[in-house]
Amino acid sequence: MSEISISANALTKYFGSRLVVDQVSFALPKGTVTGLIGLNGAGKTTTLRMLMGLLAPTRGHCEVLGVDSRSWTPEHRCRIGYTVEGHFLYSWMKVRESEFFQRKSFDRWNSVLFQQTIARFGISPDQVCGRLSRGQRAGVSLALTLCAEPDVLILDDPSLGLDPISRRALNATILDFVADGTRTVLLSTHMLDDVERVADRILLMVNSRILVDATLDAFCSRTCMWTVELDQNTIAPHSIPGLVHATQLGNRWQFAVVDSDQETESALSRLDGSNLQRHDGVFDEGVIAYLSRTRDNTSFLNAQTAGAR
Amino acid sequence: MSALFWKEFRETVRWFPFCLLLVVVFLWVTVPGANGIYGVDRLSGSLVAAAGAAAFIVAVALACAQFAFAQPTSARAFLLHRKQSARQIFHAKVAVGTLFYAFAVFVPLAYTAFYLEWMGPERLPTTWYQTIPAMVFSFFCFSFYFGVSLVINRPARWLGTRLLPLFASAITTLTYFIVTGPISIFELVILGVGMTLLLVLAFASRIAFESGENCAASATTKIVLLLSSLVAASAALATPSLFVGSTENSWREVVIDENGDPWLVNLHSVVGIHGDQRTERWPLVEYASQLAAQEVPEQWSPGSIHVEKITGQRERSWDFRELYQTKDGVWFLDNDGRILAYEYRGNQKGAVGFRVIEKKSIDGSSAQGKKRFKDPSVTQVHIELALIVDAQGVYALAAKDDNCDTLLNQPIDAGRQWSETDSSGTRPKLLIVVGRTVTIYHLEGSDSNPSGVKLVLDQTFDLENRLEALISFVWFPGPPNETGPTTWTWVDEMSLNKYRVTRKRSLDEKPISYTCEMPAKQTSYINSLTIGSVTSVGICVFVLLEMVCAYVLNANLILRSEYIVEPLWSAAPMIAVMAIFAIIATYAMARVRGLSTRQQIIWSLIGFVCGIGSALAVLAIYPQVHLVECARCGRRRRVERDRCENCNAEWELPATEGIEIIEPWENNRESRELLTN
Repeated sequence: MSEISISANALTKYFGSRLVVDQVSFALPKGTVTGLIGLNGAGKTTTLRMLMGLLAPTRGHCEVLGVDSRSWTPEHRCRIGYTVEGHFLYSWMKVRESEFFQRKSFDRWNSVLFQQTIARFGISPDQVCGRLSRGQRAGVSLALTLCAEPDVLILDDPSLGLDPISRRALNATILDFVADGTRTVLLSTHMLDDVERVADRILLMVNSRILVDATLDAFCSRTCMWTVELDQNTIAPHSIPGLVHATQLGNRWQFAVVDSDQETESALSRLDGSNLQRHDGVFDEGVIAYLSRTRDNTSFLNAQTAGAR
Repeated sequence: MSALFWKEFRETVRWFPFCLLLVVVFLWVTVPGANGIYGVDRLSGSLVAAAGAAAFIVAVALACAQFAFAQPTSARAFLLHRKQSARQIFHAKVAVGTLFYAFAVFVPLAYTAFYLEWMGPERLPTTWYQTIPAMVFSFFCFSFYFGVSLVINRPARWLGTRLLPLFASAITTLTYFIVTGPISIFELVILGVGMTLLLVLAFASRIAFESGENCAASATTKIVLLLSSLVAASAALATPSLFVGSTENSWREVVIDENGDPWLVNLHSVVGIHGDQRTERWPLVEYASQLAAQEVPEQWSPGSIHVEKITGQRERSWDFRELYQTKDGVWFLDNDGRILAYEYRGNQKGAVGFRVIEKKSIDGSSAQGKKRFKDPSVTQVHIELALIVDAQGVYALAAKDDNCDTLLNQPIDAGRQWSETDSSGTRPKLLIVVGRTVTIYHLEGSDSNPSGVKLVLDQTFDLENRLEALISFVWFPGPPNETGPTTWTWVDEMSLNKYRVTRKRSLDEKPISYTCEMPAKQTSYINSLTIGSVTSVGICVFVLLEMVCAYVLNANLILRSEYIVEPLWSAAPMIAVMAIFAIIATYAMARVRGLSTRQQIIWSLIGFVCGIGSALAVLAIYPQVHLVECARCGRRRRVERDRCENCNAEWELPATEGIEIIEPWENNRESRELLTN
């Protein structure tokens, strides 16, 4: 039986009167990679900060490796790797000094891995962190996180600033990391192809809530896209069961639907459109449909073209 | 831990040159040079101001450098996510901060102490003692380091209650008064309060750093915020008093009443409730016993020429003499350092024990001296010669043969002159300030024949632009010493510097007690109370503390001194009104913050005791609450509680929209049951 590595139970956070995380619950099993996806401001980083014990939840609680995040010991914290958003490094430190500082702060340390990682990014140990490029900073930050050999890896937008090759290498690293089935990764990112490539599960946050908590396969099998050509400019959203989002591109409409069945198809047929087609297994379109429920995904330059739900 | 210390050291050392330079510059402009005799007056006070200002900036800068840059979310997460606990990280920061603060502040001060000792007293009247007040003050300025740390780390609104801990820091540095006033038990109390607040601030800032946004305020943080709030409220409410006080002044005069009794009266510029300025007065009993037999001067217009002589070390003494010039002569009054005791409302009070030493004619032709008042119980101070300086010149007034000789016939600034008149075996000297020039004269002639003395120019100094510095400066060149150079005697405003007073009275003399009755009408001055008679402090400090202070410390915090009532309970209605106002305000704030009924009652009681600051403390200590409507009972409930405080309902799950995909992992149901249990 798999164990739970990371869990949240009715996790809620208010900033003043603003609800940022709304009763979020999930349980992530050991040996999996989970992608946490959401728009900017959806509550992803806040959720991660609560998981890491850096922010107190207003209500609810969360655990990592079976210990409540608010009562971690320093030894327990050493078992968890965390890259903060933006790849923070002390700009006045040299890369070598950064490694020294981190090495002295964790129980385990793989110096060889650190040397190999920074060499891959073409970084010299004597370079000052403040003068590194964004991608190089990301490389040092990831090296500092991975070299502590944690049991759980929580990555907050790790691919920010990485070139395609480095991103591909990061994905491979994540897969290697969980290969033995004893370690867990929670990956918060906007890169849907990265998630599709490495993740077993996804958590999709929309408007402070978790709308999707499923394996990648389950998500792809339960969502599908319907396209139809219509003359009308508006539709009634409630007329289509399981409609996640509808997008209009000229006279062509695209409907993202969850758990599509015969009733869905009948509802779409009643729109009197032509060329009705179903497309399955489109991960990124399904995710974007969920995310588009709160924010328009059409061109900034074409404000007249608005999607209708 | 060593890596943390190393990181903090490397990170903070960049600011050290700035801190060191700041302190050095402040001290450099304060400490007099080899020829700068004019800087030695008030030197210890100037050092306190300079070192205090520099130490304040250094403490704030260090705290900002160490804590503010670690405050952003990513930086804080990176720093805290390691094997060391938040407490250890905080300790490393404070250790480094303390180290740099000590080096930046106390090393320059130590060098200054060495320099002053090296310069004085032969070349300059200086000593390393003069740096002690600055060192004490600088030590307590370190409280601002913890205050700023607390401000930075505490999750609160910047424009709300976040700045309150700085008031606690300010209170800690009130220890400044330790070194400015005379020794008393209150200094120890202030020192204890300062040290305690310093420790509490340190604990509170540590807890604030540990918790970050993680938990509500701890007990120590609450204590700091409570104290800060009281101080803040007091400061805000007392501000009008500062303006009132600045326009109010008082001065002494000798006034003869209708019975011919002389009184020493403290006149205030602020008119009393009876339209009478004579709000405080003391009988000049001994003087009266003499004057009763004489005609009462119809025009008694004393032009007070104040001759102050400070004696002893850190001694609270009113040892001064006054010359009152009338149209027909000069009255020479002396209190000889005696504080007459008399009983007033059951308490021992002090009064100035004046004695008329002599009455002389100032025109030099007719001496109308009275017989010297002789009190066998008092060691008589024998005045050989008095130097009187007025707008026309300098006169020598001989006590023995009633002669008054003109020593210097030139207009001088009588407002700034000091004369040493006590002929205790040394040549008296006279220091006169005219414009920017200081002239020192010495007397030549026989002490046994004062009429033959001459005033001879001794030295002249140019004050340059430091004239204002001499306002409270008494500086005497001492008699030549056969064995060494001239010794210097000086007194500046810092009592610590009085260690080097070379002429001092015997401290063995015991004060003589007198008993006299206060006139009945003195106690009947005050018979009504208005809101204008309430002090600003009184608005902040309410019933219980007020009563304790009034009884134990014999101090009146609620009413101004001229409104002292007999008994104190007659002010009870007004005190009650203010207390009720404080209770209501504190209760209202407790409700706004959503406290329980029990907490509301407790805070109302605190408001009853501690005053209006308690309401501010409630706002500072408890976070702003957000209420939402309960789905079951419809009433407002707090978002951070698991159950509704009204109907005990749990939170309902958000309504589903039919598009959620919640797929448990293979053992999800089992694991969630585990979590629930």
